Amino acid sequence: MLDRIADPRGRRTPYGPPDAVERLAAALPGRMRDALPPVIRLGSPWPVRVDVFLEDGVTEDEVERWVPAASAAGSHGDAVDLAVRGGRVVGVRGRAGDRVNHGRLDPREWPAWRPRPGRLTRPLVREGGRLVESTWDAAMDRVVTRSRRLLAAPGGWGRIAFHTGPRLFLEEHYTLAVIGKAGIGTPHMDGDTRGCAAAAAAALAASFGTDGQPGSYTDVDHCDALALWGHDCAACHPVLWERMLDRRLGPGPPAMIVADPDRTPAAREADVHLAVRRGTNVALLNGLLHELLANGWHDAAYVAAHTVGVERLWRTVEAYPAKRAAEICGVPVARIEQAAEILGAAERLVSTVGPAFLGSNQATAAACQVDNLHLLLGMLGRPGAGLFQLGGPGCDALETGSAGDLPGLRNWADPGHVRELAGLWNVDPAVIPHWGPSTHATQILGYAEEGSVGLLWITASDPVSATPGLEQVLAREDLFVVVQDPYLTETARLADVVLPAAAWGEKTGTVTGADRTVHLCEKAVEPPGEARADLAVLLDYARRMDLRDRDGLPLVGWTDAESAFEAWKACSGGRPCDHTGITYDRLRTGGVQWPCTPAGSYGAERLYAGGRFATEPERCQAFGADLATGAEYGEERYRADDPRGRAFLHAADYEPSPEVADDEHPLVLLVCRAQRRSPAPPHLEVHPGDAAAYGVEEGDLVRAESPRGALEAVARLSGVRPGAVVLRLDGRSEAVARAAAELTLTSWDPVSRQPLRTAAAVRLVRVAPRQGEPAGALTPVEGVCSATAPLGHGVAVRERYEEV
Amino acid sequence: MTVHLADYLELLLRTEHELSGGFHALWRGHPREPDLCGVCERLAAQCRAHAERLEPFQRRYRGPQQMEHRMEPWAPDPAILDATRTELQRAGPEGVGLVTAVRLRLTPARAAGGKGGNGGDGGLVLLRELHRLYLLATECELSWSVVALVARGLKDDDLLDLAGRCTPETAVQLLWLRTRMRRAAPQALVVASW
Repeated sequence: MLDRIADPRGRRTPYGPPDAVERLAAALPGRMRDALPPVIRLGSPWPVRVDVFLEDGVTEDEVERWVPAASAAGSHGDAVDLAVRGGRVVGVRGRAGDRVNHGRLDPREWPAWRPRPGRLTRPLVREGGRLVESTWDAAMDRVVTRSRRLLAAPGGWGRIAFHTGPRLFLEEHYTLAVIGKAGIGTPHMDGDTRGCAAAAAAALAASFGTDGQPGSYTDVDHCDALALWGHDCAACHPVLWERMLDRRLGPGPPAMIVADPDRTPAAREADVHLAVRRGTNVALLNGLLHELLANGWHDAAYVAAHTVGVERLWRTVEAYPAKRAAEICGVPVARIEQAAEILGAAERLVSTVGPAFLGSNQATAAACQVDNLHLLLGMLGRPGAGLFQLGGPGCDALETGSAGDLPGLRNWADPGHVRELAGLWNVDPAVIPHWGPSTHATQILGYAEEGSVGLLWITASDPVSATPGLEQVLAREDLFVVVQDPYLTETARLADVVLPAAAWGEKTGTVTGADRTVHLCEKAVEPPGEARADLAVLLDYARRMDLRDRDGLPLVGWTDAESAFEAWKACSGGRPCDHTGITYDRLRTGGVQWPCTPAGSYGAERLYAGGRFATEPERCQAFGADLATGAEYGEERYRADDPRGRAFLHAADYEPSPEVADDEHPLVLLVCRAQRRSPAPPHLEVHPGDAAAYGVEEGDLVRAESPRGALEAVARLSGVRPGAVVLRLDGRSEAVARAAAELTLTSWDPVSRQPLRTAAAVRLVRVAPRQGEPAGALTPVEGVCSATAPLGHGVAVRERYEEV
Repeated sequence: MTVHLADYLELLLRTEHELSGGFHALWRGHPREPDLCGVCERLAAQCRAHAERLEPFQRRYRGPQQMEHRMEPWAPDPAILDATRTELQRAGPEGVGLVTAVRLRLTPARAAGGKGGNGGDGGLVLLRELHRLYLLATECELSWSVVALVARGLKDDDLLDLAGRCTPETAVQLLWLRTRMRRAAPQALVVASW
C-alpha cells in the first residue's frame, strides 16, 4: 500500500514514445483498430502503476468489494475503484486497465471521497426564520407550490432559475436541462462552469465550430514538444503531469515550454519558461504566431485547405514581432524566439491551456490564439498533436445543456436545432428559450437581487462561500431559495428549503473527463438517512409539477440513471458529442470517448482528423462573436465567411488590463481564502524586500490601492514572492472580502461572459504604524499563491484553499 | 473650401463625442452590470479616437478663414456626462419619456424594494439607454458611409482610409448594442413588469 503522506510522484515510471507502427495504428479510426492485436490496439506504452489510498488501519485484504467509479478530485477523468467495507467507503484505488490514468491517483482523490461529518439526512424547511427538519413530501410541496405560483403569471418562465455545480452526473444534468428548457422554459440556467470552463468552451466553439477537447491523453505518449499555457499542471492535473514527467525522464523526451507568470513546478521543469507579466497572454501568443508566420514555419498547405482567416490573422499579428511582444510581456526576446523555434520545429505538439490563461485578461481571445497556433502548424487530429483547453470540471453541464447552451452542443440561433429538440421532446418550439444564449450566472444573481427571479434552485454548489455579498441576495424575503446538497453548506444555511442529496458513491451515473472519456460511477453504498440521489429529486419534481409534452404524456419519461442516459443518447445522436454507441454495459468494461456511434466499440480518440471541423452553418454551435466586445455576428455574416468545415483563425489585439503591474501600481495583489473561521484578522502578506522599499513594517496598517479601489489591512512580512502581496481572507471579514472582490474584479471576458477575478496591480501605502504585537510566525506561501489566483471559481478551487 | 463638408464632418464629430459620452454614462449608470465596464470603456475610447482622427480633416475642409468656428475640444467633463445621461433617459422629442413615466408610476414599496437604485425597473432603464445609443451609433454609421463616398469624390485617400477603419468599428458597436438589448429585453419587458 502506498503511504498517503509520501509524494506519489516519487515513484516515477519513465517511458519513451511508441514506435512508428504503433503511431500508425493509433491514427486509425476506432472501427479499424478493432481488428488489430490488443497490444497495438490499446497502444499506450505508459507503464501501469496502481495507487491505493485506504483509511488508516484498513488493509486491501479487508476490503469487501471494489466498486467502479470516476475521479471526484478534478476534471481529469481518472478511473478509480472504491473500497467498500461494512457499508462504508473506506478507500480508493486507481484502475489499472483504464486508458486515462493507468492506475494512478490524484493525491486529492481520497480527501474528495473520504466521508466528512455533517451530512444532511433529512429535508429542512424554513419556519419562523429557522431551518427545521421536515419530510420529503412537505419540502417538495413547498417547492412545487412556489414554482406553480410563479409560473402562473405571464413571463413566469423568467422567474425560476437554476444554478448547478460540478458534482452532478451527466444524467442529472440532462434531466435538469429538460425540466428547465422544455418544461419550465427558463433561460436562467447556469452554474459553476461559468467561472472556469466557459472561456475554454467559448474558444473551442469559436475556432472549431463546437465545444469538445480535440486531443487525447495518449498524445502525450507520442508528442515531441509540450507547451503549457498558464497551466500549473502539477497542481491542477497531477496525473497528466505524471504522464508528462515520465515522458521527460524517458528516452526521446519532448521539449517543454511553459508560459506562466509564476514559477510553478511546471515552469521549473520547462526548457523554456516564458514568465509573462500577468494579463499579457494575447501579446505573447501574437508574438509567437508572428514568428511562425514570418519565418514560414507554419504548415501552409494545411492552413490553405483547412482554415479561414489567415490574412486577417496576419494583419493583426504583423504588429507583434518578438521584440514588441517581449516588451509588453516582460520576457527576454531571445526566449520568445527560442520558444517559436521549438514550436516551429515540433512534429507532434501537445498544448494544454490552464487557469492562468482561461481566468486572466482576454481569456477567450488568448485561448483562441493557442487554437490558432495548432491550426497554423496543422497540429490537430493525429497521434501526438493534441490540444486541451482545461478550464475546469463541467463538460457534462455544457454538453447536456444544464448550463449556458442548448443540449447536444446545439446552436440557439439555428431554428433547425431548436426544432430538432422540440421534436425530440415533443413540445412546442416556442417553449424552448432560444432568443439568445442563456442568462449567465452573474446576471441570474442580478435578477434575483432586483427581484425579477423569484425561485433560485442551487444544486451541488456552494456559491455563497465563493462570492462575497451573496448572502444579502439570498436572504431576500421575496426570493425562494432551494438548495440540494449532501452537506449543510453556507449557501444551504440561507435556503428556504434544503434537500439532502446523495454523494458520489451513493448514486449511479456517468462523468466525462477532459479528453472526452465517459466513465460510469456506480453506487457503492446507501446514502445516509433520507438523502436521495439528485436524479431522484429532479424526477420527483418533474412528476409533482406534472410536466407534460404535447400529447399529454410525461415530459420526463425516464425513471433511473440508465434510462436517463438512454434519453440523453437520443438527444446527442448526430451531434459532434454523439453518445449513441455508448451503453452502461460497455462502460462497465472501461471508459469510452465521445463521439461514439454504434458502428465501433471505441469512440473517436481525436477530433478533427483530416482537418474536418464542425463549422458548417447547420452543424456549428454558435455563429460567432467579436472577441473584443462579445457582439454576436449572426448567421448572415457566418455564412458569408463560407467555412465549409474549415476552422476559424480568430485574430485579437492585445488590450491592457488593470491586472498588469506598471510603474504607478508596481505590485500584484493576490487573494487567498484562508482556512475558514481562523482567529487572525485579514492581513496582507508582503515580501520583506518590498516592505523595505515602501517603508512598511511588520504590523503596520497598510492600504493597497488599485485603479478600481482600495482596501486596508494589517501587513505581515513573510516569504511571498517579491512583487506580490497576498491577502488572506477568512470567512468572517465580509467587508474586506467585498473590497477584495471589487479590487480584483479586473475584467470580464465578453465572449464567454465569465467574470475574471484574478489579480490586481496595486501600490502599497502605509496608513498607520503597528498596533499591538503581531501574531505568531507565518508559514511561507511560496507556491501556494500561484494556485490560488481565482476567487469565486467554484467548489473545486475552494477545496484546494481548505487544504492549504 | 468645402464648407458644407466641413459642417457635415463636424456633425459626425459631435455625434461620435456624444456616443462616446453615452457609453461612459451607460457604464457609470449601471455599476451592477459587471459586463458593461470593460466593453463600454473600450467603445467610448474608440468613439473618441474616431472623433480625434476626424478633426484634422474637418479643419482642412473648413479652411483657414473659418477657423474661429472650430468647435471646442471635447473633454470627459463629469457635468457633460451627467447631461448626456439625462439626455439618454429622455425617451423622445415629447420631453417626458417612457422611463420618466415609469418612474412616476412607481409605488413607494416597489421603489424601496430595489437595491441597485432602480429596483426591478433597472432593466427597463438600461434597455432605453441602449436603445438611444443604438440610434446614435446608427447616425455615425450612416455618416461614415457618406464620408466614404465623399472621400472618393474628393480623391482624398486619407479620409477614405479613415472611413474604411471607422465604419467596421461602428458596425461592431451596433452589433454589441443589439446583442446586449436582446439579452436584457425579455426579462425587463416580460418578467419584471408583472
